[in-house]
Amino acid sequence: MPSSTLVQTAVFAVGVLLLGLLNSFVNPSALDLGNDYFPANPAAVVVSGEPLEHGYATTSYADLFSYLDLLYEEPPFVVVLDARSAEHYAAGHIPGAFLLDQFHQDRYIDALLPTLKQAAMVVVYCTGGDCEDSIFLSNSLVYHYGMDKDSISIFEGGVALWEEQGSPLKEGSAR
Amino acid sequence: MRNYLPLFIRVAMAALLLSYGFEKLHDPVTFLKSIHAYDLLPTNPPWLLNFGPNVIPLLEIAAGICILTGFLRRGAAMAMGCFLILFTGAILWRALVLMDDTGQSFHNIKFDCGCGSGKVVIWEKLVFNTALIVGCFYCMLERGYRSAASTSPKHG
Repeated sequence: MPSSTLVQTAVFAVGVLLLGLLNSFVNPSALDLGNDYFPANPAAVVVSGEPLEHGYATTSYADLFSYLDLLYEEPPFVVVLDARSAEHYAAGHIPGAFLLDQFHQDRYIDALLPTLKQAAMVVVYCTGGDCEDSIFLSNSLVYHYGMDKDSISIFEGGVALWEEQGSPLKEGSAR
Repeated sequence: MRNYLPLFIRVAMAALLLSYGFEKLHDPVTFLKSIHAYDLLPTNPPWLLNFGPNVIPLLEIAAGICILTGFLRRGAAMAMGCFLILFTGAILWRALVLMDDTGQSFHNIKFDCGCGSGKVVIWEKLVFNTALIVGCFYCMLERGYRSAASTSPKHG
């Protein structure tokens, strides 16, 4: 192999690494290098290939449906959090749920944290199926923001189960 | 006609790499989740995992541009080829782990490999990636469109 090819490869690789660093620090939609997007629950037992053991209480569809009338109370008794992206939230979310995108928490957490700490119960959901964003968001709320683990509950069925049961989703960015 | 084959391969490779790169650049979160699912990189320190979705799309875009324009073509094609070998190895590894965990046969294994095309049948993806690797090394070794064109008979 000609040495010029190796030199070209090295120049290209260094250039791409520099571009990657520039992207990390300049592009607002790039991932934050220092952010742990998959915070672990120290109490959970992780088995490769198995669904993540989250160790949180779970909320059934019937329970969540019965909370709908309570979601606009002040101060809040139950708060429902949508851990998906803003685009997914706008396309259809459980009525009354707040958006708290697991991967862009910094955009929402300051405004939401006082409300979350007032609530007796916080129900977190994402897409359903093998989506784990609600688990990672719950870990983040407990281990980064100091929320009480016992106040958090996960709606494991997520939007998929909500739709499957024929319940309406609310479109747009408003709760 | 044969003289246009290198150009065709380069344009096709560049188009694929550019489309994959821009798709990942547009949605780094989905790509991050895909890389995380491989369970090959630690989440602590976080930058080890988070740097991938910030740099890999740029690797693909830069490789696509270099292969298309000829600037650093051989180096870009070699870097991209080596990266594809590693990534394809990781896909194969995850497929074997899934086979072991779920008891599915190899030809039924399907997951989002983070390749920019959603959930895919893995054996098809492996064949496709092998073709891409061959394409990269072809782009690295071929003499270039200009030199290929200069050897064609002159008309007029």
